[in-house]
Amino acid sequence: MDLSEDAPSAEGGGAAVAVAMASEVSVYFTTKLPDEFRVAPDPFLVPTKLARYGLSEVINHLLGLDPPRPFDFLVDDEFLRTSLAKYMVDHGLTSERTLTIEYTHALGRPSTRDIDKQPDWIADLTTTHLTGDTALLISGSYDGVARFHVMSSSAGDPSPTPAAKGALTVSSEACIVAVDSWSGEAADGSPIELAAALKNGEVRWLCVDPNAVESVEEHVGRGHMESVECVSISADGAHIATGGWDNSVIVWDNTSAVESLRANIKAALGKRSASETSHSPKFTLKGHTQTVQDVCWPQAPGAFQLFSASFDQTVRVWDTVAAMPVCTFPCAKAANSLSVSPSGQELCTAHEDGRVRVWDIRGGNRPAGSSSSSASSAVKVDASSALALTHTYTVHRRMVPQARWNPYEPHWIASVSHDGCLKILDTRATKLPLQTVSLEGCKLLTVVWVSRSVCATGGSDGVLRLHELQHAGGAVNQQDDE
Amino acid sequence: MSGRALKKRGILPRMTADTEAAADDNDEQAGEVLLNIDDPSDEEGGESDENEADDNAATGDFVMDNERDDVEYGRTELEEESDEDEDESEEEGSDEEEESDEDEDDAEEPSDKDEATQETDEPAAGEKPTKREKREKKFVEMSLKQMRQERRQREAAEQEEEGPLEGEQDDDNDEDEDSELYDSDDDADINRIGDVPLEWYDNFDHIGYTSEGEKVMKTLKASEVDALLAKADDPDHWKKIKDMKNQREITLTDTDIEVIRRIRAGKYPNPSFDPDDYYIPPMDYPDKIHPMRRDHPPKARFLPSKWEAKKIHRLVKLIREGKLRPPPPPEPEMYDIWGRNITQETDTPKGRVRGPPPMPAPKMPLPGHAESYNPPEEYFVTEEEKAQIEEDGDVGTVAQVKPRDGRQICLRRVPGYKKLILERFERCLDLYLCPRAIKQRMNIDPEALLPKLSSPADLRPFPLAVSVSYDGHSGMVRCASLSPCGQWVLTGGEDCTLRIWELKSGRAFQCITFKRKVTAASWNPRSSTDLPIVAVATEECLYLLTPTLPTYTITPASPPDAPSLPTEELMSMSAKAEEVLKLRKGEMADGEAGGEEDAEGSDGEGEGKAGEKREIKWEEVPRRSVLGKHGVRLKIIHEAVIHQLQWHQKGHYLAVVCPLSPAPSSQCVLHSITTQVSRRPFRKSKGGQIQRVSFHPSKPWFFAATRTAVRVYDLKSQQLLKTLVSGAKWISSMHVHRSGDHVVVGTYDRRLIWFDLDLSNKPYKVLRYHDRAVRQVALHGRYPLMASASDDGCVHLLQAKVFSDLMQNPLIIPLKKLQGGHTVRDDLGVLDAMWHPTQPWLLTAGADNSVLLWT
Repeated sequence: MDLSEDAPSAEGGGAAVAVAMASEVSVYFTTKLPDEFRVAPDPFLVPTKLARYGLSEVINHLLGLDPPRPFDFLVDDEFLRTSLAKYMVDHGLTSERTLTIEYTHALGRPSTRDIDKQPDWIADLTTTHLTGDTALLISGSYDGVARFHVMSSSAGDPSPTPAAKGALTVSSEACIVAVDSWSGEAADGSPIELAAALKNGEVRWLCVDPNAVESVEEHVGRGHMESVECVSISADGAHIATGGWDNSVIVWDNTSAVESLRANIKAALGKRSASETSHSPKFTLKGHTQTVQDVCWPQAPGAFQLFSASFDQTVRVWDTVAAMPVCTFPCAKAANSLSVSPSGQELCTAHEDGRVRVWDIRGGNRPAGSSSSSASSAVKVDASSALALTHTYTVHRRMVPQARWNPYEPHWIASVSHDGCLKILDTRATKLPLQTVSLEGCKLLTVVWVSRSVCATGGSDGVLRLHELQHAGGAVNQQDDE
Repeated sequence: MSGRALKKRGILPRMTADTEAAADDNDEQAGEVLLNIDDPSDEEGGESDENEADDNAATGDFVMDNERDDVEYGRTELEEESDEDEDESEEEGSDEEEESDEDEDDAEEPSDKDEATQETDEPAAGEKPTKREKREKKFVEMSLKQMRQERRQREAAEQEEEGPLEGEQDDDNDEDEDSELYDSDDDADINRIGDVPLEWYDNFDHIGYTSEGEKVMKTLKASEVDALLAKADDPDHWKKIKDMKNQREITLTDTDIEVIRRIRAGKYPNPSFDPDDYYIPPMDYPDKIHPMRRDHPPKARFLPSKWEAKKIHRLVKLIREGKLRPPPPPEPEMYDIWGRNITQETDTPKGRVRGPPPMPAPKMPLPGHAESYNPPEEYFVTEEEKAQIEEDGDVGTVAQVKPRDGRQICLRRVPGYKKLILERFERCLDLYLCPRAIKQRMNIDPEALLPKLSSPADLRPFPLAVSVSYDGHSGMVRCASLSPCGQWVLTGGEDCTLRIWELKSGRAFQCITFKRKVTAASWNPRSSTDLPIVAVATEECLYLLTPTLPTYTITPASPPDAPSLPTEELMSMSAKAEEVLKLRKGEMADGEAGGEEDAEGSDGEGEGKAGEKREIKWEEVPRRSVLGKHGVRLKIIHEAVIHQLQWHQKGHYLAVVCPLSPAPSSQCVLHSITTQVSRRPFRKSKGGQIQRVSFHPSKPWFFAATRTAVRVYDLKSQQLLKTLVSGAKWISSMHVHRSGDHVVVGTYDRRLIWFDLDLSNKPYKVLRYHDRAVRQVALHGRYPLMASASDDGCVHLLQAKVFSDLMQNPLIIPLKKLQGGHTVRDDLGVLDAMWHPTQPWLLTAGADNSVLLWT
């Protein structure tokens, strides 16, 4: 490494890096990585011309890593994408200021695996936890079949090993547009609930035994006058919200299914109820003037507010207790997809103009360092709140049908587009995506996070793909640092 | 004069003499003297030498006088001074002697003069002395003076040697005279009349005035006889010169004559002058420009230069190649008198160009005779004319030329003119305001008069880029249509397939293969509510079908509290459509029998016959057939290829256009879906083939576009309301604005024409943005957007804002050129375009088999 000749005194740690440069800045390196990647908490003098690559060399040198590993650097909760000098100029900082640079492992190029080839387009994907290590990946296709895959991951190896579990025909007549799943209190082998929105205006939710892949109970909700476009099960499973082309959001009561799931459903196992239970809407929320494209419950357990995105360029928040609209946020363009961050404080919407927009529900007054705090409590929205645009990612060239927050990682968003690209966005990197997976000749329609670093995509070629994000190991190659 | 200056003169190659004396009266005499010199000098050379000493004083006089150019002055002064000084008698005596000399000279003169005239004609012939002569004369004077000085010095030296005994008085006299002469050198003429001709004094006995104002009397006798006598008396008469102006006689000394002789011989006037002293040896001056050497020039100077030859060769080559041309002839100088530059002073390379002088104010016409206070008789109205005026009452012609009866005898009787001040003031006002009126010309930038167009970025939303592509067609996509709800996309193309896609994902939900090319397809406007019917035209066949989409199978759930809904309410939409599309034979027959109507004004002639002859058959497609399984229900065969299918807004009527049909009445057919009746609205096609039709959105009007014009019919009263003349050659497409007051027409000759029905029958705007034929124009239902698809592969987006108030004209602003999506194939680009019903999205179908959604 070139740096070792320049900075011999850095050997042994603690001493400032004496680099013979005209303009230098003293920095603190902090990290949340394990101890083996931790450097001494002393100020270092680094040349301001260093960018990601140079800083990565410094860290590698300090740690004495062999082979070297690439790192990514955050200054003030923002990824460093330029040289330190340019960053300081852009933010009006002088070199007298001591920067605190946090470093993490850089994200490497995701490895893509084809899991399954399905005969029809995959419309939507959903996952649910079965046990601690296994997750169920359910894909809803346009042929009306939901296909199940078990993702089992051992403790040592974070990458799951997928195994096809089976297929369940939800509807033989209509195609599935959206699916959502819910598992009760995670009990081994207990049934889960799967909700599917159908093009023929029906909403079906089934209690499915994941082992045998057969439905135990079937519920049909008829109330939409047009195709249903989206479905979402609330965090406690008691409600199912759907939206569709009839511009309405309908909330279905799901308590009976939840109760039967809570009661020992094993007794019911084996004797599949042939008859389906028909439901009428618990209440219908009208207010959108155009198609409701996505509904989303916040993941916090006690959340009673429902978000819906529509073609009428608004995001609306509904109070599901009072069955009342809370407020309406304009969101600049017709939204295809809506996703609430795990902290419940931010929204991301996907638009047909190839953009992913991230909004702050709290009106933009984000207190510093709040990303980790109060992660579990849902943000209360009232009529006076406003939606503040925090980022706009112009990352896709075609329509973006879906963008989803990583429920396990508060900063990551996965977005897919008709141009066949999967982009991993980070809210701390304002412009560029962290990583890109580009697939030729297929439209990606849906993406779902299976685990913290694994997401699955489906699209027009019917191939279910697993994209595993991994920290780039091995040599720091020049390509990582533009 | 210094000796050095004289020496300098001496080296001059040609001797000069001053000229001024030549202008004097005694020119002739001077000339005579000069002429006469030759002879005696030749003959009496020795004599002149001998006389030298005797004539000292006279010579000095002469020299001095000549130096001053005025011969007489010095002499007169001398006379005066001598008078004053001592011996009047002597002087008088000398005068007398001189006079006698003159007499002698005069006597001798004629013979000499004759000789002289014979010998040397030239100086005498020329009345005015030449320049050369004047110079010579001047030089002679100078030389004489110099010589005299030298001689005086010599004599002085001799006297010193010999002793001052002899002729002391004379010497003193000489010296005195000399000093006087030198003193009088600078004095002016005696005669102070100046340069005036002396003839002026011919009639007087004086010839001028002295400086004291005394007359200069004519003392010299100028008669020829006197001259002859003097010549005879005095052998030295030839030496005498008469100065007529100053009235004195000057005798040339021998020295003078010698000088003159030498000058005439081309020698130096001073014999002691040695020209060799003035030889300046050649020196090499460092800054010399002319060679001082006499070396032989080198050979190279006589040989043609190699480099010149090369240069000439190069120039010849350039000229032959045409690169070197003679300078163009200068352009004729043109003056744009109305241009701006002419009135301003501009600095051109040629110099300052001044504009024409300002235009003078027009003058008032001069008053004629009729306006005189006392006009002539013929300007009065005669009695006959008076009578005629009274008779005719026509005052104008006569009264204009004849003055009023206000004749005054004299000017002082003329009363004051009352309007004088007023008219003068108005005249002054006119003149004063005139330049101001010129200044007040329009000085407005024409751009400023144009309305300010807002930038396209402020007019968002409008489509910017391709968002969704619908892939699957294997032939040209001829038509594209969006369902009224905006969820489904209908396309048909030359691969004989009709496809229905989901808008958002681009997944094909239905694909129906026909036997022929799909030329037109259209959703029923009521598809989203109760009649999901699609009309498809495959060349001559029109099919009506209900798409088997899952959306349309939704059965409304009966609310539990109101179980008694009519069965129709509980039917799914596709079921309702099926009900409508069931073939009703009896009704069809009834409708056909009486359904033939003519908007052109029916004459009812042979209606039944014609109707039966061109019967439009509604056929049922068997349900078990391939098409029937896809929902195709009815089939209607037309006479020619169907170009357009246009639904009425309420979804009951379908207008079909087949321009190529042999019968003019079949070019446009109206089908009623609910009653299954077909009508031909036009018996004969006025204005050529019908290209496009459209329904008015609210009124019962019908727009039919022929190749060149759009005709507006009232369907109720069945008459032509308007004819919109497009000025284009071939209309390709038409779209009626949702307000119904505006019609947009695209033409194959690349134009986009906007008609405002409230304004006129002529186009409100003609836009020519496309490079190729315009295939389709489309107006958005909600947004003020307009799109035009063209064969150049581009779609142009325009803002077409229509104001609700009648005061403002529609505002059309170009927004964006959508390109890069479709490629031109076989000279065909974008074939169809349609706006999304609710979103600012545009669906386009291209000849490159692609269907794109622009957002």
